[in-house]
Order: sequence, then C-alpha cells, then structure tokens
Amino acid sequence: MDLTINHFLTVSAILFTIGVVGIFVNRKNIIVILMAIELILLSVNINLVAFSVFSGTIAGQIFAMLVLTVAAAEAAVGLAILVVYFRNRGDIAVERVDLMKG
Amino acid sequence: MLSDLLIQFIVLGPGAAALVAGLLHRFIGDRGAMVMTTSVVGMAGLLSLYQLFAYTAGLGGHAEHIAQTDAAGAAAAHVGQHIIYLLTWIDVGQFQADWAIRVDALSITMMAVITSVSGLVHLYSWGYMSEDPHRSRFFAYLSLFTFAMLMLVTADNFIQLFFGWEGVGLASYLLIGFWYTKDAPNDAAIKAFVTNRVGDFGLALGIMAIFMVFGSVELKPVLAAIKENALVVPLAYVDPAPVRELVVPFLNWDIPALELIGVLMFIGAMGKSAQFFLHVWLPDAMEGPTPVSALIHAATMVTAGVYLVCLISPVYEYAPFAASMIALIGAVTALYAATVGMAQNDIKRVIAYSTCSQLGYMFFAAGIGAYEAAMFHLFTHAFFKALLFLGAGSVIHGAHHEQDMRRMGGFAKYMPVTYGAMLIGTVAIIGLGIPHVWGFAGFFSKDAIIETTYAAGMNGVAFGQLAFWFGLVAALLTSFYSWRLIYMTFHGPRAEAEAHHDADHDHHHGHGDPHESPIVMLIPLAVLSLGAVLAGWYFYDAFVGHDYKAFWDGAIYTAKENTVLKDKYNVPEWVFWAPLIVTITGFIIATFTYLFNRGLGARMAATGGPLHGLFFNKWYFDEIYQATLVRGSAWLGDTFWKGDKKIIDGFGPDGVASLVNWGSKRLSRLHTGYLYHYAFVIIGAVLIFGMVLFWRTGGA
Repeated sequence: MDLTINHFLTVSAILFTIGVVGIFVNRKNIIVILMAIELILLSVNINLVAFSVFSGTIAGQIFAMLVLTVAAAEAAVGLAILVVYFRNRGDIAVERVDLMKG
Repeated sequence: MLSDLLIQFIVLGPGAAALVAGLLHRFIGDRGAMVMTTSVVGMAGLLSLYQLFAYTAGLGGHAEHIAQTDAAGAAAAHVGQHIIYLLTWIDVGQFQADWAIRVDALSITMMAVITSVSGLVHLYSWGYMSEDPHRSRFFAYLSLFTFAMLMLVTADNFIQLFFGWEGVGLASYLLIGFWYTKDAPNDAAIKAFVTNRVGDFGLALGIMAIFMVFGSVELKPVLAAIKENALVVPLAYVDPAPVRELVVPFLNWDIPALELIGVLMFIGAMGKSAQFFLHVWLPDAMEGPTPVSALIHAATMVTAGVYLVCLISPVYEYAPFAASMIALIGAVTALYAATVGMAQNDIKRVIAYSTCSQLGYMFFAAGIGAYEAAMFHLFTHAFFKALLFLGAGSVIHGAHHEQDMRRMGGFAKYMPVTYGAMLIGTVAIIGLGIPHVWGFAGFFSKDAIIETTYAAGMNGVAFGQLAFWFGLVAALLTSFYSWRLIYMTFHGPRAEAEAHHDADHDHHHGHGDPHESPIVMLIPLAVLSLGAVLAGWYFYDAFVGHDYKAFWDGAIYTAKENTVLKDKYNVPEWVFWAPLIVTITGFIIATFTYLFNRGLGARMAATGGPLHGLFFNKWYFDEIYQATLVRGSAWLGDTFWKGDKKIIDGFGPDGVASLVNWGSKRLSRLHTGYLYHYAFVIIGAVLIFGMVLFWRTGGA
C-alpha cells in the first residue's frame, strides 16, 4: 500500500480534532490546554511538511521550522505565566480561573 | 430751575448711597450708613421741593404764552420738557433706549413727592428702627427704593421705566420681608411679588405692543405720533394706517392698537397700584416695618400706576374702552376698599385699605379724563397718607408693638403730638373744608375729582355717573373709618395692660403705659402735617385750577373734546356741597358708634351678620383666590410634575438608561471567565469566517 497525501492529512486532521476537543473537554488543568495547543500546532506542521513533500517545494518545510520556533516560544511564555499565576493564586484548575468573569 | 448737575444728584445720589450703605457697611458702620443715606436723600428732597416751588412760581407769564399758542392750535405739539442724557443703554436698530432724566411737570411733581417723603421716612426710621440689628441693610433698601422710583418717574423711554418699575418691586419685596425670620413677612413679600408679576406681565406686553406699533420705545416719538395721528408702519404684517385707526391682531382678535396698548399698560398699573382683583397684596404688605408702609405702600410706589396712566394720557384719550375700564375698576376699588376698611381691627390694615380706596379715586379720575386731578390727588395723598402711616407707626412704637385697635384706647393723653398729627391727617384725608373758601389738602384734591366726575357724567363720559356716586359713597365710608380709627385708638378708656400678655408678640421692652415717640419721629410728623394742611390750598391753581395748562405744559395731554377739568366749575351747587355733607354724616355716625356709645361697634361686630362678615373677610377675596388660583395652579403643577415624571422621564432618559442597564446585565453573562469558552468563540468564529470565505470564493 502506497502512502498517499490523504493518509497524512487524515492523521493531521485527527490530531487537530484531538487538540480542539482537548481544549474544550478539559476542565482540570491549564497545562493540558497548553499541550492541546501544541497538538494543534503539530497537526498543522504535518500538513505543511506533507504538502511540501508531495508538491516538491521546500517552502512548506521552512514554514514548519518557523511554526516549531513559535510553538517553543509560546510554550515558554505560557508556562512562565502559569508559574506566576500559580504563585499568586495557588491553583491552576481551569474551573477556578475565571477572573475575567463579567 | 435747577442745574443739570443737581438734578442728576437728586436721581443718582440715593442710588450711590444705597450701594455704599449696602456694600460698605462693614467700614462705615450702622450709624455711618444711616447718616449718609439720610443726608443724601434729605438733600435730594430739599432740592426737588425747591425745584417744584420754583417751577410753580415761574408760571405767571408762561400761562399767557400758552394761552396764545393754544388759540393757534399748536399747544399739542409743544411739550415743555428737558432731557438730561446720561448714557446709551440699548442701541439696536430702531430699538433704542438711553439712561436719561426727563424733567417735565410730571417728573418734577413725582420727584418732589418721592424724595421729600423718602427723606422724612429715613429720618423717622432713626427712631422707629433704633432697636433693629440690621439698620444699615434697612437704610440701604430704603435708598435703593428711592433710586428705583426716581428712575421710573424720570425715564424718557419705556425700557428705563420698566427698569424702575421692577426696581421698586424688588425693593418692595425686600422691605416687606425685612424681618425675614418670621413667616408672615416672608409670605406677604412673596404674595406681593407674585401678584405684581401678573401686572408686570401686562406692562411688558404693553411695551412690546408699543414697539410693534410705533417701532420705538422712546416716550417722545410715541406720544407725538398719537397726538398728531401720524401714519405708522407696524413691524408685523399689518397694513400701515394712522395710529388712531390702526387695528392690530392680538391672540385671535383684531383690536384697535391704542385700546390694546391702553388695556395692557393698565393691567401693569393695576398690579402696582393694588386695584380691584390685584389688590390682595397691599394689606398683607403691612407686615413690613411701618416706615416702609408709609413710603412705599402709601405715598410713592403704589401711585406708580396712576403716574403711568397719566404719563401715557394720549393713549387713553383715544382709547375710550381702556379709559372706561380704568374708570370702572377705579370706582369699584374706591368703594370696595372703603367697605373693607370699616371692618378691620389692625390699625395699619385700616390705613392700607384707605390707601387702596384713595388709589381708586385717582384711577377713576384718570379714567374719565381728569389726569390732572388724579395727579393732584396723588400729590396731596402722599403727604396725608404718609402722615397717617407714620402716626400709626408712632402709636405702634409707643404701645410696645401693639397693632390691634381693640387693645388700644385713651392714648391721646400719653402721646399728644402723635394724636395731633393723626387728627390733621384724618381731617386731610376725609377732605374737610368749606367749598369756595378753604380746606385741608384732601378737600381740594378729592373734591376736584368728585366735581370732575360729575361733569364727566354730564358730558356723557362712560362710567362718569357711576364713578361720581361710588366716589361719594366712598367719601362717606372714608370719613367713617378714619374717625373710627381715631376713636378706637386715642379716645375712650385705656385698654387693660393684660392685653400685652398675648402670646403673639414678644416684648423686648417692659410693659406699662404707652409713651410718646422720640423727637426724630415727631419731626417728620410735623413736616408732613404742614403738607397735609397746606399742599392742597397752595397747589390747587397750578395742578387743576386756572394755571393748569401752563403747569402741565404738554406733559399731560387731553384731546380737544375732553373738557372735564374746565367743566367742573359749571356743576350744580349741590355737587360742591355733597362731599362735605357725606363727610360730616360719616363723622357723626362714627362719633355716635365709637365715642358716645363706646362698645356699640364691637357689639355690632360680635353680632356679625353677613354684611360684617363680608367686609371683615375682605369680600372673601383671599379665600376665593386660595380656592381657585392657588389650588388650581398647585393642581396644575402637580399634574404636570407627575406627567413629566411618568411619561417624559419614563420613556425618555430614565427609560433608555434602564434599557441599557437591563441589556448590559444580560450581555455581561457571556463573559464567563472560562478560557475554553473564549477559545470556543475564537475557533467557532474562525470556522464560520472560513466557511463564508470558502463559499464566497467558490472554493477557488
């Protein structure tokens, strides 16, 4: 069985869906949300690389590197915020992070 | 005649004195304020009296000159007046008004009355107000009043007149409510002010009508246009016409322009001069200090309406309806106030109704065309009415602030000078005198009015007959209530001192016998007594007698057909004697009721009867006004207030505000604060926008 681009896109779509569902269904921990965001970004990366390979252009792979960099930076900043937040509030349960409530 | 500078001092001096006394009393003290205002006004009084005498004395040769020009028919165009220009005030197109001092016979007369009475009242207040803690304020108000009144009578345009008119209204308000810690004076002050607003509204409309018709608010061109029957071009969409035939629209009617102006101006005069329907404020104004009652509510301010009617005499000469209205209202007021005066027990209220009644005389005299007689009565009345009021003040002062005549009696031996002054005032007001020989001041002026009204009735002037009979009956009543006042106050047994323990008044000084007033209060009484005795006799020829044409010199205008003032010599003999007979009748009735059968009057009052009830309760005017106007406007205001609250506010500002509040409360629930809700909205929006984009571009 040959690997076609559809396989890659399917995997990517599954990952993306898992990431989105992870954001919504998760009620426990903000770190899980961060991880779900990473999943979404990775699914996008798989898409980019797959399109790059199958279309024979390098631009997609370079873009994937860029996305990785942003994801790393985002993870660093997000975790730093989390740490500070935990120090202030002593809690990072999603249910109780509702200071923006109107 | 005086130089311009001295005349300016007469008019402006009291104003400056009022400013200094009112604003700088911290630096000059009470005594400084009193000395300054009294001396300035007193000097002004002396100067303007001199001016009046000089003017009257200089009539001799002038009379012949006038007689000649009159024969040539040119007298109407000639107006003997002199205008001192002070400052430009309003200068907008045709609408021009200057601060100026008009000097003619009318203003000379009024200036003499105002400043001389005011000077005496200032002096009198030294004694009467000696225990008051706010003397500098009192004297500042008095001088302010004098200034405003002088501005009123010397105005050469209707705007300055209006300024003075409102100025005296303000001073009156301030002085009625001078004892502001008590309720009654405050209520009386507000009543006076509000009632005057009704009249002033008429006056303001009248001035607007004058401007609309004549395109000017200056006296000279307006009055000249009426005298010459000039063609006027009104501002509004009205065809130009000679002014006497001009008809203008007002509300929904077409009214002759002069009738409209005449009636509106008279409504203003009614308010200020307390005529029937708008008289209710004057008796209540007696809550003010007695010197104020003498100056403002007897001698000067209340006569401003009479002065106004005489000032615009050309209007009434060609406005028969307005003139007959004046005659009717005046006659009714004269009789009405006299009936009420009979039944009052407060010494000041009796004199207040007497003032009201005498003002009625002046008005019906003006209404039937005898403006000169009206001004003459104004002039003499100022002296004897101020005398009566100051005498009453002296009684009140001596009796430890007792005003109820039922608690007086037998004061004659305690205060002989006041008694003498009051006697002179009484014989002056009832007009004691022998026809063709001599009499007191009121005799000359009141009999002149009664004779001219009879002549007017003969000539067929509207309401002339009615005014004559009303005037005659009012003269009877005047005599009765004036003597009743004298008998109740000065004669009979002395009322017991226990009356003083009444809780109504707090007495600062001890009880005991009434005492004569200090000399500063007796000097004004003496001077005014002189005026009450001699003013009528001395000025009769000039005001209404043989020299009247030369004296008024165009300041008062009468049409060719109006000859009432000359015809008064041609009335039947019994008309000359009738006032004397009714006066003596009134005197006899009062003597019988209150002197020889003391207590009869009180018994009659106690028995009551509908007539006494009617008179005692002032014909129930206050009650009727309370039930209709006061309640009515309160109801109207209440209705509008609730309507405003519920409808305007309900659907307007309050409604919008509560809608926004309600909406934003619901909107803010969307802000749950949960991260995944925000994320869901973001992703949902991205999906929707993406799909829209996809669909719009057709997937390309």
